[in-house]
Amino acid sequence: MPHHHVLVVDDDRDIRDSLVELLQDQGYQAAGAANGLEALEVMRTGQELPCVILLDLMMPMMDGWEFREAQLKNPAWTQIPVIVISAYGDLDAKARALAVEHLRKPLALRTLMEAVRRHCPS
Amino acid sequence: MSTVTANHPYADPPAPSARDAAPDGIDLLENAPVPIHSIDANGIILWANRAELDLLGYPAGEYIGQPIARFHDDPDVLADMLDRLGRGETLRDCEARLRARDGSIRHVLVSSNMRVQNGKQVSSRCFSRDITQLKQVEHERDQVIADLTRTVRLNDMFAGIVGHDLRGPLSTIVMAGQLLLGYVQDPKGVRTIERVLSSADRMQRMITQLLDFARARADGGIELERRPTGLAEIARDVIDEIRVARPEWRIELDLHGDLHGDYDANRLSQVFSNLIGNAVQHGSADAPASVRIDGRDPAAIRVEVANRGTIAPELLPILFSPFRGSHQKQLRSQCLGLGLFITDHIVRAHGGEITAESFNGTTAFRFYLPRHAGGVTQIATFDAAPGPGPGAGSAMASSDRPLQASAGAAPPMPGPGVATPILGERIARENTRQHEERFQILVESIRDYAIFMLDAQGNVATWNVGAQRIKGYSAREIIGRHFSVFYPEAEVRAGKTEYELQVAARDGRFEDEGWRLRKDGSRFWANVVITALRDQRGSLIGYAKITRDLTDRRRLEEERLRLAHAQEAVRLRDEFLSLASHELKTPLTVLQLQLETLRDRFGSDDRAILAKLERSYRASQRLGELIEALLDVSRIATGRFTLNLEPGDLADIVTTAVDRLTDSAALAGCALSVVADPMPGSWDRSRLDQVVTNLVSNAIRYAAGSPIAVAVTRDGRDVLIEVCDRGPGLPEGQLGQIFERFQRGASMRHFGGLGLGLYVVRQVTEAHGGSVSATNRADGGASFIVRLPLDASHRDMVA
Repeated sequence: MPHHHVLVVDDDRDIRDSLVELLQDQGYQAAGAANGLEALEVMRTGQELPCVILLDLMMPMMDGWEFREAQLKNPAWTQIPVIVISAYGDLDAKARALAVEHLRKPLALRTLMEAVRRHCPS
Repeated sequence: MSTVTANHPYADPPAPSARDAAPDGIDLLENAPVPIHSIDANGIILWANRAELDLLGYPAGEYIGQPIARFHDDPDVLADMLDRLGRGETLRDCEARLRARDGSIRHVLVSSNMRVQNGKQVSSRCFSRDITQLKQVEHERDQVIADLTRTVRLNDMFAGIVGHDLRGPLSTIVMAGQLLLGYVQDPKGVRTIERVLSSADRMQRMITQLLDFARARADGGIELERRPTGLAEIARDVIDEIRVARPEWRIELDLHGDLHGDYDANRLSQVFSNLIGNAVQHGSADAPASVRIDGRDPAAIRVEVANRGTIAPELLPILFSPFRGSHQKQLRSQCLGLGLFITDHIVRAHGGEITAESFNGTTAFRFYLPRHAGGVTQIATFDAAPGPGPGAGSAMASSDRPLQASAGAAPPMPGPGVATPILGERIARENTRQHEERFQILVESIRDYAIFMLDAQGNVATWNVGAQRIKGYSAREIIGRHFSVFYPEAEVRAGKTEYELQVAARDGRFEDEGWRLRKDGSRFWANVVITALRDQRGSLIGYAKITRDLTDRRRLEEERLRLAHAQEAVRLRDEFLSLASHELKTPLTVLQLQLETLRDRFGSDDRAILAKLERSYRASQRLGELIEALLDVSRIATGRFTLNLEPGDLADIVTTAVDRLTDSAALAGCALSVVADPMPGSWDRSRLDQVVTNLVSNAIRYAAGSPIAVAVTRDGRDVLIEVCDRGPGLPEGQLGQIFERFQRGASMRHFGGLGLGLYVVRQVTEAHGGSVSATNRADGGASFIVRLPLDASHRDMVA
C-alpha cells in the first residue's frame, strides 16, 4: 500500500471536514484532528504515519506551535513535513520556521493539491 | 504689626538699578518656585531667578543682559506683549513659547506689567508659569483623537464595504447554490453544495455581527426604531425558528403581565435569538432552557433566559466584551463571539441593563427594558472624566485697585510653598520692619499661591493677589468672612473646616488636596497647607493658609488618563479589524474549495451548471479580494502598513504581475502588452505587484474590449510605471479625487471597487517615496502613471 496518508489539523470543523473529504476525493487517505493534542493521538494510535500534515496555528487545547514542538521530540515523527495553513499572510519568522511550506487562506484547490503532491505523490 | 499698602499687584521690590536689578531681599524672589525675570524698557533682561534659569537651562551669565527677544520663539507674540506693557496694560496669563538652551520649546503663561518711575517706564517684572507638560499631553491627546476619528471613519467605510460589497457576491453564491441543489442528485454533490451554502450563511452571520459591531463603535450607539411591540410574539418567533432548525432542543416559555412597550422589534429579536441560542447550545440535553418574561411592572419588562450549566467564573466579568484576551482562542465560536457584546449594546440602547449570573449549576441572563424611551442612551467611546469647573485656571475677577491687606496683630506671614517653615524661622530671626515690608510685598505679589491669614476662629484676616487670582474674591469682599466659603457645601456640613483647624492647632500644620470653590462657584483642585500661628506665650492667634491651584496638574493627570483610554480604543479597533478580516477567511476557504470541487465534478457535464459554478467562483474570489483590501486599509489606517524592501528588478515585478493578468484580460477582450526596461533597485515586491495588479485590473474592468499597455521607463532619477487603456476615460470631475479615501455619500460600489484599490496604490507608491497620477489621454482612454524614485533612501518603512 503506498504511503499517502494526510493528517489535517484544524479546529474549524467546516475546514477540517472539507479538506479531509477533498483529499479523499483525490485518492488520499485523510484524517482530521481538532487540535494538536488530537493530532498527536491520531499519530500515536494510527496504523500508518502521515506523509504530510496540514496544520492550522490558532487552535484551542494545543496550538500549532506546541504541536510542532511535540512532534519534533519524537524521532519517528521529525521527518514528517508540515504545511502550515493560516489566514495571516505576514507570518512572523517563528511561524515560518515551523513548516516546510506555508499556504494562505483562502486556499485554491490547485495550490493545495500541488503542495500535498510534492510531499506525497498520490 | 504693620499695615502695608501694595501699590500694585505686580509691584517690584525696591527699585532695581539698571544693571543690578536684584533688590535687597532678593533671595526670597531668587528662591521662589515661580520663574521670574525683569526686563528694562528696551527688553533687555535685568535679572532672572533660579526657577527661570532652570526652566530654560541657561546659566545666569548667558541670560541676564540679553535681549528677551532672543528667547522668544514667536516674535509677534513678544512684540504684542511689549506693546501692551508699553501702553501700561497688565498682562495676565499670556501664552508664549520660549526657546530653552537645548533648543526645546517651553510653553509658558506670562503675567507682567511695566513699572513707571517719575513718569518714565523703568522695568517690568514677568512671572511665568510653565505649561509645557500640559501642552505636550494635550498635543498627544489631540493626535490620538485624530487617529481615533480616522479609525472611526474607517469603521464607517468598513461597514459600507462589508454591508454592500461582501453581501453582493455572497448572495450570488447562495442563489447559485440553491439552484444547483435542483440539478445535482448524487448525495456527495448535495453535501458539497450544502457545505457551500452553510459557509455562505456563516459569512453572512459574521458580516451582520461585524456591521453591528462597527455601528456600535462608530456611532456611539445602536440606532433604534421604536414601535409598539409585543415581547411575547418576538420570543415565540425566535423559539419557533430555533425549533425548526433543532427540533431536539427544549425551550420553556413563561409569560406574565402586559408584555408591550415601545421597542425595536428587529433588535430585540436579535437579543432573544442570541440569548436563547446560547442557552440551548450550552445547556444540558436533559434540562430545558427557560425564558421568563415578566410585564407586571408598569415601567419596564423584565426578561430572564436560563439554562442548566455554568460559565467559568473568570469569564463572567468579560462576558459582554468583544475580545476576551487569552480566552478568545477557546471561545472562538462560529460567529466571532460578538453576540453578547451586541446584545448588551441593544439592551443599553433601549435604556435597560443586562446581567449574567452563573450559580448552583444554572446560568441566567437577566435584563430589563423600560417600556418607553426615556432620554437618549449613548454608548460613549471615552468616558468624560470629571473636569474642572467652567473657566478653571483662567477665571478671575480683574482688579487693578490697590489691595488693602490689614494684617492686624498677626505675626509675619510665612513665605510661599514648601519653604514655609524655613522662611518663617528666618523671618522670626530677622525681625526687622524692613524685611517685613519687603516680605509683605512679595507675598502680595505672588500670583501662583493664595497666601492669607485666618484669625483663631477661621475668619479671613489678610489677602494677597494670588488669593484673588485663584479664588476670585477681592480683599474687600472676603476679609472678615469665614474661610468655609471656599469649601463645597457638603464638606462644610461634614465639619471639614473645623477639622482642618483642629489638626493644624494640634499638630502645627495641616495639608490636604481637594476641590475648592471660587467666588463664581466653579471648582478648582487645590493643595492647601494650614499652619497654626502662636504668640510668644504659645497661645493660638490664628492660622496662615497657603492654597495652590493644582487644577493644571490635575488636568494633566486627567488628560493622561484620557490619552490612555483613547490609545486603548485605537488598539482594540486595530485588533478587531485585523481579527475580523482574518476570521472571514476561514468560511471563505471552505466556500472556495467546495466550489472548485463542484466545478471539477459537474462542470464538464452541463453548461448551465458550469456557468453557475463559474459565477459563484468569481464571486468568491471577489470576496477574497475585498477581504484582502480591507486588511490593507486597516493596516494603513493603523500605521501597520510596512514595506518589506528587497533588492530586485522592478521590470521583473511588473512583468510577473502583468503575465498573471493576461488570462482575465483576454476574457474581457483586452490585448495586454508590457514593455519594461530593467530597473534594479530596492522594492517591496508584493506591494508593487499589488499596485500593478490593481491598476491593470482597473483598466480591464473599465476599458473592456480595448487594448491595455503597460510600460516601465526611466525618467531622470525616477522610474515610471504607466498603465494606459483605450476605454472611456475617467469622468473629468473625478480626476482629482480618485486616489482619495472614501468620502461619505460616495457610492458603495466606488468603495469596493475603484476607490479602495486606487487608495492602496497611492499608499504603496507614497511609501516608496513616489506619487501616482491619472489623466485622460488626448486620443481617448485613461492613463495612470506611478512615479517611483530609484534612490531607496526615499522609502518610508511605515506608510
